[in-house]
Amino acid sequence: MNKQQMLLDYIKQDLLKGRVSTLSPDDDLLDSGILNSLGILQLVSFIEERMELQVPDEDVVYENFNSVSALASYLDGLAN
Amino acid sequence: MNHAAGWGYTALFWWTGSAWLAAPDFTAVGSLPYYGLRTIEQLIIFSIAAFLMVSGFFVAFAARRQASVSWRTVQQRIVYLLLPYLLWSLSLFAFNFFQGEFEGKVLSLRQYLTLLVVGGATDGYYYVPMVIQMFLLAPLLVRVARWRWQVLLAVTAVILLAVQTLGYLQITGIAVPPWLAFWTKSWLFPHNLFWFALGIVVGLNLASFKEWISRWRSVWLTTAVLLVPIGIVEWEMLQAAAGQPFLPTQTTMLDSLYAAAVIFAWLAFENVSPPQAQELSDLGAKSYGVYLANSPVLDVAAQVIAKVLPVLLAYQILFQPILWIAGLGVPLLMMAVVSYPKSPIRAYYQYIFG
Repeated sequence: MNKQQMLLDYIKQDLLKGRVSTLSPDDDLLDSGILNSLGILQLVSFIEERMELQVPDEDVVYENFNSVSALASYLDGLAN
Repeated sequence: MNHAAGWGYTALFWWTGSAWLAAPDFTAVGSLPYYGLRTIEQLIIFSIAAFLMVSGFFVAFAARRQASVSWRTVQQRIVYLLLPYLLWSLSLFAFNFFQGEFEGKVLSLRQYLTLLVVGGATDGYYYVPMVIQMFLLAPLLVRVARWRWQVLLAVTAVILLAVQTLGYLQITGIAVPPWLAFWTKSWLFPHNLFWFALGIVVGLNLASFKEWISRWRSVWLTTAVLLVPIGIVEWEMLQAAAGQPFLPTQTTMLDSLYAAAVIFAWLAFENVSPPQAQELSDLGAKSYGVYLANSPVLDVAAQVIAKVLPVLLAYQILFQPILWIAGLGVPLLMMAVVSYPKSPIRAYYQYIFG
């Protein structure tokens, strides 16, 4: 499974807990109220545990986390 | 743990080992269980500061590269804080109403509304109105932080010190005008605004902040360790100065210094991963739900123990771990049940636990 799909599944199942049925890769995670202070911690924790990628604190910025597609791109860059 | 320690003091001073007392007996002050409870309180007194810093950090994140955080983001955060808070507060009101009392008396509608505004449904709920006030101030705070972060930290630190100075005066019995004393209330923002502002400033200047705290990391750690016993001694001295055998703990200036030292040490040693880091992180993400659910659970657990197995009240070494397990385990179980894939209320999880 690619990173984008993993992130989409995780956000829908664990962060949103089925609250919305559709989530597009380009949906704004902040404007849609999906991300909050604890949600970011949870998402970073998921990335570090399941994808085995270390996310530096300095990289936890809106530009990298604003959407699933932006996050997947950032993580692709991090992995390479 | 703080709430459990509160029940610990209740058991210590109001329970003789065979019966409840009509008036508290403070002879247990100075005993080993007493200092055990004080040490627990002192160790975790940084937690509110840490939570507020995380919220401030999120505000900096949400501000993106714009001048400030948007009102839409503020509104969303408030809604997801407020709805679970209202649900739990109203449930507690209903629970107390059907028991026929709220600390001994039936309240009017106006009194219930006041309790909602000040977070008075149960001990600890003051945090929600307080953090909502901070989110309302967030657009202004981010603007100031972007303009001159030193000014923001200096002003909020002065407010913090002023509130804590008033606290020292009140503890030691020095009269403070009511209009001034009002601002020391825990549900109002001045008490803790500094930590929220610090989170914003750190979020906007993370790289330089981390470089700075890393240089002093052994200082933060040493300061934090030393301030635990010093904080306990300080409170003993304040109780003595007040002429009281026991006073419920309040945050003092030394406690604020301790909170800063713990938070900075934690960030400065970020490459040192604690055992069960992943589990702790997952638990941290559930902390708002645990916080909301744990107060009523602890109240019920303590009262059940008092009725069913009162002998436990005399043994803090057993009573406290049972409360911790109940206070953490029951809320986590409730969250697991609600978020279970086949649960009919799964879609409402965020409105129940945040």
